[in-house]
Amino acid sequence: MSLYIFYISNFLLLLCLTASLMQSSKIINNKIFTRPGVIVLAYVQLISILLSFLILTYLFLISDFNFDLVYFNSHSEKPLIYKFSGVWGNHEGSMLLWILILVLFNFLFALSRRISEQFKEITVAIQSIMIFGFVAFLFFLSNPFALNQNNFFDGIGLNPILQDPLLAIHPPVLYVGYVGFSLVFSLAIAGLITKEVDQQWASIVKPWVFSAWAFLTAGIALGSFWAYYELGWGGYWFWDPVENASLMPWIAATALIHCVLILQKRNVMQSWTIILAILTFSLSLVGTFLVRSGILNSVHTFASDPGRGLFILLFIFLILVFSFSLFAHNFEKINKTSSMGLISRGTGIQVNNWLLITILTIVFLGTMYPLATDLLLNKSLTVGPKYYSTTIAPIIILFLFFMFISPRLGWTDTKLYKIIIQLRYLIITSLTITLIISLYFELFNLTEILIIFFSLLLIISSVTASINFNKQNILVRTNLGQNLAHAGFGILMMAVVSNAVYSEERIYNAKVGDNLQLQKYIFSFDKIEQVEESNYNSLKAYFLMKKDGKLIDTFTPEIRFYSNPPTITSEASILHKFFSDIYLVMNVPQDQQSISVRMHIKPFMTILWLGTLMIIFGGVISASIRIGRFDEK
Amino acid sequence: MFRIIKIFIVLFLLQNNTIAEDPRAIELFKEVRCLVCQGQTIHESNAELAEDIKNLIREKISQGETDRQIKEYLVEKYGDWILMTPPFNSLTYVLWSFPFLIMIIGAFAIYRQKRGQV
Amino acid sequence: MKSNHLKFLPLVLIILLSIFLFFSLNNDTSKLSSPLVGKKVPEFSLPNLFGQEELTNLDLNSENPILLNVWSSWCIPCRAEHDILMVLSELYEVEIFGLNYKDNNEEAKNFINDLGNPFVKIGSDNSGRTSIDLGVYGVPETYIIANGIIIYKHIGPIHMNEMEEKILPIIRDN
Repeated sequence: MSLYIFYISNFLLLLCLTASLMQSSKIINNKIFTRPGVIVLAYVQLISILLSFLILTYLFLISDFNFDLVYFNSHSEKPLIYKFSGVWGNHEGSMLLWILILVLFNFLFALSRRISEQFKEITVAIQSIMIFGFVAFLFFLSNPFALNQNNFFDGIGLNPILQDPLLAIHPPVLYVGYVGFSLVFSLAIAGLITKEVDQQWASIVKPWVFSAWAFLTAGIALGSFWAYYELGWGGYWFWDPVENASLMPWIAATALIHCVLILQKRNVMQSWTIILAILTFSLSLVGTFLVRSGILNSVHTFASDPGRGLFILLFIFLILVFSFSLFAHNFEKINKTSSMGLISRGTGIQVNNWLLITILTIVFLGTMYPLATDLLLNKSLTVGPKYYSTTIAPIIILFLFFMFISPRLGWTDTKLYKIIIQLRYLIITSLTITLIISLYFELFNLTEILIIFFSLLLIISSVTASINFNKQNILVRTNLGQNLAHAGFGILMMAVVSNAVYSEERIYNAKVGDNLQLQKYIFSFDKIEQVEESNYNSLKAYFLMKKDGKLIDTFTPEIRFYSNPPTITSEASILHKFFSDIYLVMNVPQDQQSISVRMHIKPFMTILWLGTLMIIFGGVISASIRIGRFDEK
Repeated sequence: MFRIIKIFIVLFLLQNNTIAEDPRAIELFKEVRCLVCQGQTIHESNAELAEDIKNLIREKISQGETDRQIKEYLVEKYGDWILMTPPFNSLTYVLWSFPFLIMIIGAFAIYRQKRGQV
Repeated sequence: MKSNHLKFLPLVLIILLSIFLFFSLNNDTSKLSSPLVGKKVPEFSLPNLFGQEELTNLDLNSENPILLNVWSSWCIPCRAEHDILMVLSELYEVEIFGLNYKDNNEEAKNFINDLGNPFVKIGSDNSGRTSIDLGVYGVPETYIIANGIIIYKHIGPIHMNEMEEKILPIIRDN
């Protein structure tokens, strides 16, 4: 039975290869194959990969250990949902998922209407060249359907850190983000080839760019959220190389959406848009490569295999060389000179795009520098979080300012002082609130104060801009997506800064009966229990949290002992209140008498996640605004 | 001096003899990398070597060494990479100054472009 | 016009980056250089595992290159490396000093009694504190010292080929 499945799945992969080859050929105007058409082939591509994916899922669900992949990454005792997410909790499976999404976007685009047939064919052809490349890579170098040569009774299992519902959906969501930009890339190349990168092109691209961006934001947020819950360190972002690998395309993508907006409204900034489109997708690919090749040491690496790394590097290299050569070649034919005034919305966006690129450089440099010093000078270096926060914080101040002021400026030259006067109440309110915060919370660091001030300006400005009454006194939706996302960003920045400044941590060695203090709360260590679950045993500690003698809540941090594979994890116990989280973690006990307990107060976490949600929804709303319209109001 | 007072206050407020970790030590732990882990600080790590280095730091604090002296000692034994934040030295000039340069270049370019239009 | 040349910039950057990444792939990032290479052995004094005279930095002052090997009885690669150490000390007559790292003295003695003693002297660092002074971060590690100066640090067990290609040449050249 397994043998049949082996043959069928590999056949499906080959089928996709063939269909993609035929799609790719349509890039040549002579049309070697007019039949089958673009849509039919797109169906074949989608169905072949979808079926392969479903088959792989089935193999995991029934725990068929005849297949290598299932053996190495699953176990019969695993809960069902984690058998399911085990499909993509490994290199080969996640590659197949990646390809599935690649093919899905291909399909959805092939179905679009109101796009010229020629343009559609070229875009789909580019997309299919990439599909071909990835499927070939999968088939020859990372085949998920490889058969197990031996007979094993049961699988090795999935790393328990990965057995978490959040982490189960993090890859798919993130991948929709990464891979969504493959289509944007294909559209950019098609634009270069047809030499038409104009307002209409921008209208076509816009919903794809916004959807991919929204998913990418959501994927990153999910990963960050998971880290906060699962890793037990109280943090949500560590500037870990793989986190950076997902952040870099996001930064480029944010610059890209703003370029697309300008392109659509004013028909300028063509070259920036194309460069950013290529860059965003390239960064998504480089992110993939860094994670899989083993050149980075990170919590994430799941395929330390330079051979595969070499292939992906080659692939990325070819794509980039081709696209940037094409860009250099067609540069003059697509570019229109900018005619935006000095003090204008366009300039504001341009400035912020450049700030984004600066931040991108910082993240890139921080991630790559240790590799460079190691390679070139044989010296090791660590680039930790402080590097990033010190260099990025001042930039964020400027960034927030331009985010605040640009939507208030016109597209042509505007008098700045007039705008300032118009917004005087806004500015005074923000200033007052900032001063109150600063005095009440004893915040005297200039960078932090400035970030809070400009975040407030941004938040209030975005909220008031979205509440607009027309002449009939009916609420009008103006740029809701933009304002929601911008307000969300302001909230996020305020929360990030406040959280960084006001987080507190205490570490204690505690025995049963001890009372531990954290700010105005006292935690009594009540008892410790042994618990048995289906795939782990745990030590569960009970802490009673009291304030002024009254019991508020019970915390139950755990240390879990898994058997497949043998791992020990520490589970945090978290209490969410609106303004802060309280976080309790046990460390693996050093001796029999006492355990080491960490207690954190993490202010504004809920608000932080709220800000992130607002950003995501802002993106979703902007994605749904109809194409074909140049004016949104 | 203030540190000693703070410790006494903390100890006074606790109803028993559970000892809290010195906040200054915690701050130092967060700046020292765990040498045998993937990118964690010794503060976050459970590794034995991390614990050994934490003990070393606690010892040095009680002997009155400054943060700078402690860090210098660790760098002497293990190299720059044991510090989480890269120092500013001949090895890292590019790292710290490059972002600033990029910003200047951008500001310059945008200004030139706008000038050119007028 | 400037833009004519700038349009090639992305292409150039990509090519440079790819070259860099290509070489990084083949670069083994797990071996780290030690900042103590080229410096004098720090002062230390450790009790002798077999109760004899202490092991101190003064023991490591010989003009001829000597080895200081950091090992533990609970360390599996140390077991494998032990044969190489025996070869070095008996066949090549290299003086090797041992630093027993965070070990139980009884078990350490058993290890030596079972597998042989290539060491001139063995110092016991039960707390691991002295090892930190020497920049040790795992076992096994081996220092080559000449005239009291650390001239090379080997991280991980010494394999046969490494003995021939790295260790012996350094000893001969000094």
